[in-house]
Amino acid sequence: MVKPLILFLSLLLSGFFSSCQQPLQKTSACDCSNPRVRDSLVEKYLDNLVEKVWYNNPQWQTVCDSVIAICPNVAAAYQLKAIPFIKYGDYATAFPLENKAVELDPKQFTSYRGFLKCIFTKDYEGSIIDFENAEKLVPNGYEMDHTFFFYEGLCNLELTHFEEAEENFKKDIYIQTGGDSTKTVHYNSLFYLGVLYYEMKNYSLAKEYLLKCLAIYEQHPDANYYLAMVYKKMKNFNLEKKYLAFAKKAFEDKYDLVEDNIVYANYPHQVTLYEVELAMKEPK
Amino acid sequence: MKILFINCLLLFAYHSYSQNFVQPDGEYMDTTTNVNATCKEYNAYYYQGHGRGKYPEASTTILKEAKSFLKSKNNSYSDNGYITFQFMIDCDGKKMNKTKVLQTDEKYNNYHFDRRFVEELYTFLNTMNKWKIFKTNSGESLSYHAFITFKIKNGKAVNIIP
Repeated sequence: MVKPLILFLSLLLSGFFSSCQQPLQKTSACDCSNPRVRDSLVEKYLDNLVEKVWYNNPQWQTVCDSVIAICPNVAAAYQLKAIPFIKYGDYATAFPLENKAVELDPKQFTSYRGFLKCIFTKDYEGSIIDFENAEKLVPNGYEMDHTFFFYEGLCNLELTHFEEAEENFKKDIYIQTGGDSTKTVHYNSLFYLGVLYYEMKNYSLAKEYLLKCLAIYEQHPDANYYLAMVYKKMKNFNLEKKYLAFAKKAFEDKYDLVEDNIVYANYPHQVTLYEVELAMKEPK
Repeated sequence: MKILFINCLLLFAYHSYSQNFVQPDGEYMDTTTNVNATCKEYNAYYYQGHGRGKYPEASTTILKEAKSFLKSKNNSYSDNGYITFQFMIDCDGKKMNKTKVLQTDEKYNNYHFDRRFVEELYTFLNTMNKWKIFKTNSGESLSYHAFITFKIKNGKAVNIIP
């Protein structure tokens, strides 16, 4: 299957690129050092692959392997090839591919690897290193809808490095607003600042940020749950009960944190209906 | 007879450093066959249908349960890395056999933890009994692929994936 596809891709490429004039000679026929050639491979085959093929379909691997066989320096092919493995816990297969992608295109893939370490493998120390490096390569950059500082904040929160996490989340918000307090901030930036203050036992600030989060996204189940926990600590059991009921209803109505990868991996401090119901049963 | 004895000895020695069943595609904890004739198989994964097949407890709750289970075993270990069990959930929401085990160190290189530790985690995995039943939009139940990874630090479970 692989060889015919390589041939097929090579034949197609020969029609598009003057630098791939001898299709049957495979890789030697393409000028892989030319960024335009590499970008065109991504555009023509990998973008198409993402759009049309499910990553557990064997064709996914075949197309990635074929692009790598034609130009072994196409970073995106390694990153895409790793997707089904990272989503099914096969890290020994996934991470050498991610590392190769980073080696070939650090500007694009360092933050992505940091994201995987933060959300998927919970390697918080490793993720912080990647995001610190990513910040040098792409200052004030974003990954999966969030600033690099947001993920650093999550990692530091989970490592109980609370002061660092607070600094990270504040930088995250500053990048989003440019210092303009009238601008809207991502509800999960507000949610995690609330969770951070809850962990720091600063319940009035925790309440403030969780309420801000709920003002944007009132069905946020986790924000409702943690707000209930804040009220519990404040010994306001009526409000605890009220927000636990909101959290339960939100889960039953299928609301969640609304993050792209939430179907694959639990986010830090994420709860489920089970924890909400457990809290509801606790004697007051 | 002597050759047979040596072969048995070698087989035993190899077995003690590996998992229960070693196949070209990996290591398995229980059996290498997995047949449930009552379940339709569509090669579904836990994350389909908006993550319908994720275990319905927070990672921190599962971790707490795992820690309590491991504590009852009263053994100590020292390694770092990840131990992943891949398996299928049948159409009645029960974990099926043919559990594949993948092990890496903390840098994601292939690795082997103390086999007793892996067995303990596998025994804990088999106590997890709240798996969801996966149904298609038309209401048909089907089996699906799921996994649980234990992140290990200094021989202790410190996180659960997903």
